[in-house]
Amino acid sequence: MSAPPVHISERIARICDGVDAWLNNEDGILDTTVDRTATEGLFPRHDVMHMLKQVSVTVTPKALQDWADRAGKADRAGKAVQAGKADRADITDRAGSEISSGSAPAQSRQMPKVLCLHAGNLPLVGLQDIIATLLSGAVYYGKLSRRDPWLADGLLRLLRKRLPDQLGGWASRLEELDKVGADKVLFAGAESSVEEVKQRIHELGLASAQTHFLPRTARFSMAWLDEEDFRSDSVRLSKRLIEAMLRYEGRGCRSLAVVVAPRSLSEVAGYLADAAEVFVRRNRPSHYRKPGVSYWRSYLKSTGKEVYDIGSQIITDDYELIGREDVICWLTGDEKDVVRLARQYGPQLQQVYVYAGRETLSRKVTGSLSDVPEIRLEPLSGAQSPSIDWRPDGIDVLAWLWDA
Amino acid sequence: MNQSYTTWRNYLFNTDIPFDDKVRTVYRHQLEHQPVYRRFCDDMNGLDENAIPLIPVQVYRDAVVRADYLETPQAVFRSSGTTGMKQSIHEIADLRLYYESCYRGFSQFYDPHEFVLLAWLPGYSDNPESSLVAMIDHLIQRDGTGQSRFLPLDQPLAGADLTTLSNLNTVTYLNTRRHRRSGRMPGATAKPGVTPAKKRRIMLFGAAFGLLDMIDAGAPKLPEDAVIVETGGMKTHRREISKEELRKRLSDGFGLPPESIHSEYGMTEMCSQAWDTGKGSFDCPPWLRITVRNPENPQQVQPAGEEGLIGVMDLANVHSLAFFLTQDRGVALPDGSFRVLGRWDHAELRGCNFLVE
Repeated sequence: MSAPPVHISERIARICDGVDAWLNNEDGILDTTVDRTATEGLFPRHDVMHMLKQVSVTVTPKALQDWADRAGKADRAGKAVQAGKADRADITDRAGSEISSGSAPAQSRQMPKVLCLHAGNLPLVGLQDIIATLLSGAVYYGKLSRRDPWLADGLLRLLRKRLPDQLGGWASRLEELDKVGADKVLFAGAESSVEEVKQRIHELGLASAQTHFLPRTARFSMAWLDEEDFRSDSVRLSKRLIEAMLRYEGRGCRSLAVVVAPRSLSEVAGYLADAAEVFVRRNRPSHYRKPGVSYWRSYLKSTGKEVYDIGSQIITDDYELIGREDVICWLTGDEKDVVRLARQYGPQLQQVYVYAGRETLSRKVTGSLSDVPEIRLEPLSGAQSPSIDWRPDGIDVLAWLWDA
Repeated sequence: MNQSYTTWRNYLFNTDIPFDDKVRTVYRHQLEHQPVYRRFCDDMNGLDENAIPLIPVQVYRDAVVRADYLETPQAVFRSSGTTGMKQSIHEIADLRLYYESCYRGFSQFYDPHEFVLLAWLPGYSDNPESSLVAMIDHLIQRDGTGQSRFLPLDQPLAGADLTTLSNLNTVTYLNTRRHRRSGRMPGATAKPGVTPAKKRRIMLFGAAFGLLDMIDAGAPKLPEDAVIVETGGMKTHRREISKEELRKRLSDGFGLPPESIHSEYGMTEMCSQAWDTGKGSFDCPPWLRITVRNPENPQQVQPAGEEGLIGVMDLANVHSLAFFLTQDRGVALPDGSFRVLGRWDHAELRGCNFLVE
């Protein structure tokens, strides 16, 4: 049976329908995969539930339409889908994978192919890349995260029912994917490993010499506070900071790893400890403090640095530990320090959060930081609940897929 | 063990005493006399002599590392310090111990009488307290020929140097020494039974990127038996390149076989050095041990072949801190040697990373 080309508005409707079906536990998929994820210890249930809530709020027809409009190419989007016969791919089912075998469908053969390498520390970490690929009109191929083989698989199965020509195949191991020769590849990694990843992709025949790569290298985020923030409501501020630090066990690139503030750590440590206690009571960490974190804690204490326990993480005033896993650095400083750190950590820095309403955010955005490209300001409240069109590493992935 | 410097020197370089025995002695000594290390071990619950904790090398920046019996150090070494970073400060209580460690270590892997040492260290000229400069200077001073030297920064390796040096041979050297002792003229015909003339080989020391600059500036090819020792420094850094690429470029640039490109692994915080004599991995002198540690649990030693952080047990640091963890990425090999793979990126474990998967 042939399928007509799908216009972007229709794609948006089908994507949202698939996501709704998933959230509404169609075929019992969601319950099964959430249970499996939690019981296998891949992610704590509370983090999975937090993520599901975010998906329900952020993946809406309006949000996707707005994103497409903002990417500025909505009118071109339909052109990505060429007219032609859309044979259903012959799909071989496996646990956590869907591999297309044999030749690609005729229509799919003419559509751009996007390979997404999902690697992450968060549940459903590649959601944005999946949605962007489908929204762009391209065919999705995915290497699922080994830590998240079930959730994404469940969602992709339901999306495949709605957009069969755009779901090329996915697997938890790169070697299991067909040699698709993708036109575009999205992945996350350390700056130093980008070339190694590209080489591996080429070796496996997953990319060609013409393939465009979009590597994302940012690893952590920073908060910038001013005196006014402390005067308003320290308890609420602490709660927001702790959510940004501890949600997803601090592992995401949007997780808060550095705070620059006019007050010293010792002045705020009590507030933070209280807020952390409440957070941890509601969201039990999946692990105790790691030996490497205890090691640094001992070192900081022995050298007379400030160090406090925040859940299974620690917070210290030694900013030379910036970027270390489970270590949050508190720097007593101001705007100049924000700029200095942003320039120093450049490609590793994801967002800079401010504790502010729109007015303060606007004032800060248009202030002296506006000409520092490494600084992307956002409200602290959105640290762990980004909109679907947020820009990892400052790049709109949908616009990139259409432009590259 | 009393605190006499002489006693310590005799003890540490005594090869009849097993390394592990000396480790325990030094460990007990440091627990007693290094308050920062004592606090660290206490908090780590690391008073077990079978699981000696390595303190982060940052301690040389963050604290005053000084034994409680030391009033005035005989020397102070400082790291060059990247902009915005604090310098490491290594106070040397017993300079003779430092020099002995350098020279004895060097002599473990090379015959000092076989080489003329040349050093070109432009990036270090503005750091008079560089431990690297001190080490090489000492090796140069120990060479009785007077030919070993630091090369002038503006004229690193003129062709004339090579001609002069290639004419220098062991007989000349021996005769010069005999002449000093006996009053005989140098160059006089050697008596029957004297070791036949043997040319001295050139050993050129330089920070990795300094040597590349030298090639770019048109350095001449070296004699085929010369040896290059890159000291791993990133001074005059332009971009990062792999060890293999560096070795190839130095080999091509100076016209030497790859096995003549050697390396030295040392740092401000160490009184000893490990040497790569052309096989591509480093070996340690008997009073230095390198282990590769699990970055997520530095108390764990990684098995051979697995990458991790380089951990140092340098017993010549008996008067400072002997047991510490560097930020260098390394891998141990089955033969007990190790490779240095650059700096460890601690942010790798944060955020999403395809390779970590």
